[in-house]
Amino acid sequence: MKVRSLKQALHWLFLVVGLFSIVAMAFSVNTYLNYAREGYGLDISVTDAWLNNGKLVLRLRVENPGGLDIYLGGSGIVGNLTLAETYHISLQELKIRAGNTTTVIISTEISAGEFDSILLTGQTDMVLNLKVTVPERDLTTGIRVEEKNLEMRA
Amino acid sequence: MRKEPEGDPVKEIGEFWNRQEEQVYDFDFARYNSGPWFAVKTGLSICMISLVYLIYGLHELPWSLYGSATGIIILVMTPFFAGMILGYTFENPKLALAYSLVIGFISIGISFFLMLLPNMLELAEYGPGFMKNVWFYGFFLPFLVTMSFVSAGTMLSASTNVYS
Repeated sequence: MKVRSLKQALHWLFLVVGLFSIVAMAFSVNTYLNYAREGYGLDISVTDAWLNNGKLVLRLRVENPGGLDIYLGGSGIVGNLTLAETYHISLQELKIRAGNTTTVIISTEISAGEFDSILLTGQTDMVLNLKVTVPERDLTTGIRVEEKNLEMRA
Repeated sequence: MRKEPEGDPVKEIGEFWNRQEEQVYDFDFARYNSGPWFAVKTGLSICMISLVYLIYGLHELPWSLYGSATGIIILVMTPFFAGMILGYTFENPKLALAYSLVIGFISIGISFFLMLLPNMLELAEYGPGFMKNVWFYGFFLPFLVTMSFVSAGTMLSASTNVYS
């Protein structure tokens, strides 16, 4: 097609930009709704787990792909860990900068019975719930990390 | 030595204007201002403008426009561009201005609504600081941009349609 005038070219450019913006709009809305739904985009995975003196220790890899600084933990009880029983978790407030990845270590005292059974099987199922705060947005939300058959380091 | 102009200068000016008119009328008005095109222009304008307002107001997205000079340029140029394309449709500048401002305000409403969506759906608990943020970045700034840049774009293009 021959472009006959600047106005015509601008109209076709508008069409391209407009179609691109429809896709970008759908993608953006979907992404930030997912952010709000859980953990504000934080991506937590368990990289290592071991038992030590009646405690279960988890090493977590926490990635913050979004554009805001996110805080994990705080004062008091900031979440819970569910194995066969449920335990409260305290974690000092930790800042995960926008676009950064951090390692977080959580250590929780667990009951003697459960300690022995995990020691015996060498693995466990776990669900970890943690409080997430975003000061810049003045909001609080939670994040849930679920692991099946988590291998314990000897 | 200054070169003397050849031929009749008055006639040349007349020819120049004829060429200008041809260039202006080379644009197919009937086609680009037909019903379907007008509907597409309106829809895409609303989508484009509300998208830039939204991603300027939302700081959490990695592709947020907030906090960079490029972001501000995109924030003001996109509504300007959308307003310009809308303005080509009108021969009456007043009508063009009114229409583009209505489109701008509809876009502000849509982006404002989308920013509040996680709060309305109760996906996360937002404090009062959140609303303060939304009013400033989601309403006040888009309002200024709409008033200045959408209308500027519209008037620029609508003025090219006024000949008499």
